[in-house]
Amino acid sequence: MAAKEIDVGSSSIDVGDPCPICLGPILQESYLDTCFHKFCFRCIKQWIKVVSSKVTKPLSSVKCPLCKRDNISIIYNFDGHSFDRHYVDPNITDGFVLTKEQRYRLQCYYTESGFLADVFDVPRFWKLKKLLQRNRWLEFWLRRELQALMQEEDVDIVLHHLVGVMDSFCKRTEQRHKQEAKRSGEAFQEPFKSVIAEAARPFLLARTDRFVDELELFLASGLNMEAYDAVYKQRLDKNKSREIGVANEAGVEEENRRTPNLFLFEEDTD
Amino acid sequence: MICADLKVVRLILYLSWRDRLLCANSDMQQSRARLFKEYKEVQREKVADPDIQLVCDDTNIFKWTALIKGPSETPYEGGVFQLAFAVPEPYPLQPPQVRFLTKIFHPNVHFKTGEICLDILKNAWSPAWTLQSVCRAIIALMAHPEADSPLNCDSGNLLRSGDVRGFNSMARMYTRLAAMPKKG
Repeated sequence: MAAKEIDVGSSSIDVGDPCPICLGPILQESYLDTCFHKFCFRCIKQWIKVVSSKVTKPLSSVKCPLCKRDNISIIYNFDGHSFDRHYVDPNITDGFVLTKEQRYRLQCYYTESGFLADVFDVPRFWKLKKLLQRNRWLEFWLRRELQALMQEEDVDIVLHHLVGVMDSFCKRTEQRHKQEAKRSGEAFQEPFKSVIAEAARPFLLARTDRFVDELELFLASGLNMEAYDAVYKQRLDKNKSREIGVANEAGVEEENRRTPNLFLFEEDTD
Repeated sequence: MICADLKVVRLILYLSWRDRLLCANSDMQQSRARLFKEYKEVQREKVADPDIQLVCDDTNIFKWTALIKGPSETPYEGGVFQLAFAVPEPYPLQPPQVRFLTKIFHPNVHFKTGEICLDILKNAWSPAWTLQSVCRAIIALMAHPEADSPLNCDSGNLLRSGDVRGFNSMARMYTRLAAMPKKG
């Protein structure tokens, strides 16, 4: 994975297609978000600065120097998995930066599924129908998770939507549970996961399924956030040192070991 | 301990030196690089656009002159007009200052100073424009005068009052006087 990662700075030099602003090769390729015209990140950022210096109130969009279409942000650092956005509106620019905790959560999404299956007993969770016991930390956990995944600060709507879906599922389950007491708890696992996945998919897209797994894991742990994080991080560290050990044995130089989500993590993770 | 301090001092020195270098360079260096690119492009395109001849000052890359041919089927036809470009340091983030050196009778050109009233040279400027494309825009302006925002009121009034013939003959006269080689 890491071998595929090349220095973004040098790989994005494209001699055939010069930047319309400096007329030189494009450095740190970036795109406007509506018309997708391509510029050096530095050039287009400078242009936005010039444009906004001419108006008194903060700009929310900028016209493309080439086609005059309105754009609200620059897309940059695109590496095939993720990208960063620089908003024209300075209020948004400074707005949401992932916290360390949120970065760590994103990192979790690049581990293999079933990462902690041996620590938390998921089947037991379903068997004992623990879902019906509300986890008090769920909302805090969900908020952080959604913020990290959507890279947005305001996730209230999605959060309430998911909690609502979960609550109504639990209510239904409870009623059915009374009617047919013999039915085992495991039978609810799949319906629960599919209901949540359906509710979350429009917002989390490709990460939905993994999100549902992570949610299940968190619920099954029955821990609060701090304790859960501690277990997860411990395993992450262990895993990392093991992987690096393997890599070193194989003679692979991995100085800059990062997850595919480039630039989202601090470089010195140790 | 001393060793660590020395390292820190050296780092600070290096950083301040680097910052100073970057600051002093940034604008100038950038516009210079871009103008040089345009210069090379002009050399390459010279044959492609026979109506425009852009020349860079021998000693100053921020000063350019252009010779443009008056568009056909206009009173400027047959004339060759000289433009002077003064490129500001933040170019292309700021537009170049362009004026006619050759006298021209046109509603959007100041008769005395040669100043040009053209939106792309003011608030509609985009860094994607080049000196070459500015010349093209000026040629287009010559063919399509905008009489409602005149810098030359006499010329604008002629057009606004519908006296196209009067305007044409005045403009042609000044083209002959100022923009054509003198006969004999």
